[in-house]
Amino acid sequence: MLKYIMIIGAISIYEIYMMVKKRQMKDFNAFLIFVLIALLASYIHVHDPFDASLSELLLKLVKSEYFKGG
Amino acid sequence: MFRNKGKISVRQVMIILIITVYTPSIRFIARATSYSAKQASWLSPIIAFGVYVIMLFILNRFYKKYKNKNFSEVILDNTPKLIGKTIIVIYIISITLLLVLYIRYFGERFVTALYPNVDINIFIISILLIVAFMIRSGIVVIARMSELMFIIMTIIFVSLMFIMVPNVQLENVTPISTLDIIPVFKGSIVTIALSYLPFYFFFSHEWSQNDKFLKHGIMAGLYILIIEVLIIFVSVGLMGSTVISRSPLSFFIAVKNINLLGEISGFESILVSTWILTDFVILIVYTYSALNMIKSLFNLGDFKPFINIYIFITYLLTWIIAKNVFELQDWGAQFAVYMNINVLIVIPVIIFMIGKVRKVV
Repeated sequence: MLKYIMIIGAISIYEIYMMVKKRQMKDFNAFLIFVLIALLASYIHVHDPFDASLSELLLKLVKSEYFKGG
Repeated sequence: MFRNKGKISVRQVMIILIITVYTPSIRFIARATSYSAKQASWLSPIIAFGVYVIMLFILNRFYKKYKNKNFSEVILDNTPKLIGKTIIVIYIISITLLLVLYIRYFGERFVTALYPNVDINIFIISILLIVAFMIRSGIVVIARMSELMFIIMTIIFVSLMFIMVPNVQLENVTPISTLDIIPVFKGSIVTIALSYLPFYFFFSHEWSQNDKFLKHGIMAGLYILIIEVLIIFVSVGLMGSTVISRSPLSFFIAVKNINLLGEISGFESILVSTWILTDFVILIVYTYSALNMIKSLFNLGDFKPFINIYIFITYLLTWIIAKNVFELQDWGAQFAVYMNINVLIVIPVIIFMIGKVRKVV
């Protein structure tokens, strides 16, 4: 998890620096949403809280034959 | 001429469309259509072509009415703001899921077909870094690169067909009777799902305005129809529908079985090279389209600050989406296809109908 936080931190520092430099700070709020999504995705990737992949969850939703086995 | 304007021509958009349909066609179209339509599966793309032409006429009306505007603005103009924004969010989610699917397939293809003992991360991270770098060059560079790749792709595809078509066993692709009509319709669902054109409308403000949208659109549709029919025809014709419907990477297996003059084989490496090139275009164009959707949703001044973070999210989703390639294939066949039909066909048609009722379009 730490390596992903470090990558997200590095990307954020660089992009925020560029936003300040180019005077585009009005996009900061939207950027923050993406940072939060990235943190959430890293948490799900590392800890797997649902004990299932996204495909598995979506396929269960459409009642896939994938889980019938055989 | 277009470089000065910073815009791409409609012809270039259609070339991008052909390239983006080529890769999924090679990967799963023969398998998916032959599962339902058996020996008649090669007729399935004809129905998809009919749907594509209808969509083309609808999009042409949007294009003529909303010049210099992208699809997000069209959606927001035809629907209440909240619903419009929700539809754009649906588009962002769907294109991201598709992008993630293609990234994972890109890596899986390498480790399945070429480098079985290599870490898949090497291929995924390297392609994402190149995509992040290329996006900054702008759509004009991407479109010009696509033109070059289109020529390479066509030459290789035509060469493969010259070798494969004479070996087709006609008993594998016949007989065709009226009993095949319903299976062909069922098989056509996957081909209809590849009508990716609405995704490119999200950067239609970067297309140069000319009146050749319909002409180039129909030409591209015919080209796609021919390559799809040929891919299914030779795959089923060489291997039989039973084998093809159970084979992942069905066309790849058909190409692998080519043996020219009883001596020369290994043509699959040529196919893989076009696959890599076209996959690269898909990843760039989808990322570009997704970033344009994000730009419209949040009214951003520029999407460039979002490139790195968005690509990092897609990298993480590449691992979250599926635990193995079988899950990925099942997800593609049972979920992504229907998601595509809803997003690429149903939503634009609904927006068109709303526009018609409100007499906007």
